[in-house]
Amino acid sequence: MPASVIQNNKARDAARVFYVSWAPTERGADKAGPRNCASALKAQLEPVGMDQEGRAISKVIDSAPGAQTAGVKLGAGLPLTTGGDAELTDFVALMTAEYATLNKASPDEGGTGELAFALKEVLQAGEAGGPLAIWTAAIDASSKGQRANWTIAGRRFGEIDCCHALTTENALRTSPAKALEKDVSAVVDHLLGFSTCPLCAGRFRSGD
Amino acid sequence: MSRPLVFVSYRHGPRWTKLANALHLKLDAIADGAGFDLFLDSQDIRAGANWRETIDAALAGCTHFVSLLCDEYWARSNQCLRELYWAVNRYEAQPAGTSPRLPHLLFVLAAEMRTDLLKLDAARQRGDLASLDPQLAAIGDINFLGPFDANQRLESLNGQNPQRLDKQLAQLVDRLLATGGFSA
Repeated sequence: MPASVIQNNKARDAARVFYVSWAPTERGADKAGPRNCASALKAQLEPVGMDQEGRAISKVIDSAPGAQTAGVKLGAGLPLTTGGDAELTDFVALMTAEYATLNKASPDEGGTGELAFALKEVLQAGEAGGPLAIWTAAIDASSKGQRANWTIAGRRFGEIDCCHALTTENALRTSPAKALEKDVSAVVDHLLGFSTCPLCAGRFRSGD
Repeated sequence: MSRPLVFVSYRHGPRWTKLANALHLKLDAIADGAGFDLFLDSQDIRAGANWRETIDAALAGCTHFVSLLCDEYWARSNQCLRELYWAVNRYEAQPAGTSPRLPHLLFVLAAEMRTDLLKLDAARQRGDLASLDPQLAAIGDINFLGPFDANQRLESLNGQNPQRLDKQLAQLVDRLLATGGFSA
């Protein structure tokens, strides 16, 4: 039986494992774009130790090829398969138009996007699904209205209540470096402030 | 009822194709959510299809004609001008009082140009534009889609600065959605 992104017997007090998912952009902005943003997020989140509810931060995994931590593997065709001692608890999507486009189709219709896959798992698990949280942070210049119209796994992104926005009106800045550090710091604070996701129907959404 | 169709007209070439593809990407990400279809020749003409027929069908059905203007578009490409004239002919062919006139003519400044000097007189004299009730003397008579700077002055797309370009493209998409005719 293949491992699933959600382990239904996961305890609320289990250590948190973050997965930072992103896609390269086509605009040649990678140096200041998703790759750097993911690195900054990992660098700030990893040393924290525990969140505000006392849950340990066990791992932060960057979706970049070759950047995965030992003990967690990405299976062929199953982007988020976990293994060993790791159980994914927090899926963080760094959203751009490219990323949204890659996640348009539902896995049921052949989509292979990581966010689409995570979303399918969360929705299938329903209320009893365990505390996998999906967090999203837009990191390109898309407006709030545009983000609402992104299609993720065949649904309008603005209507997906179990994706929790980490930024509100503005996209997370990816340059200059100081702005990136500051914005990522705010994102980390937000991530550490909420540790569970019982399909909260927008309860944790930060105004988006 | 069919969905609105956004036609992106641009000059082929590394610089302009890159800009067109970047705009297409932004639009493609929201097309289903906002309820419109999108046509960019490099993306939407399948191998083996009749290239001209496919383009003509899209021109005949488009509700929004987005033109990425640059010198090469205006002076060096018969195909670009053919697309432009087709759209202007459709726009001008509608009876007086029609609102909105379709397709929406949405010009984007892809490079610095004097838009008031992009006149259509010669095309009318040649018969490329055939309206008996011309609405446009020059491209500059139409409100541009953008991009606009912080002072609302028209500026050109900045292909050299990816972050600036990203903001400009996001602005274009917002302004396109504001033209109306979309579901969201």
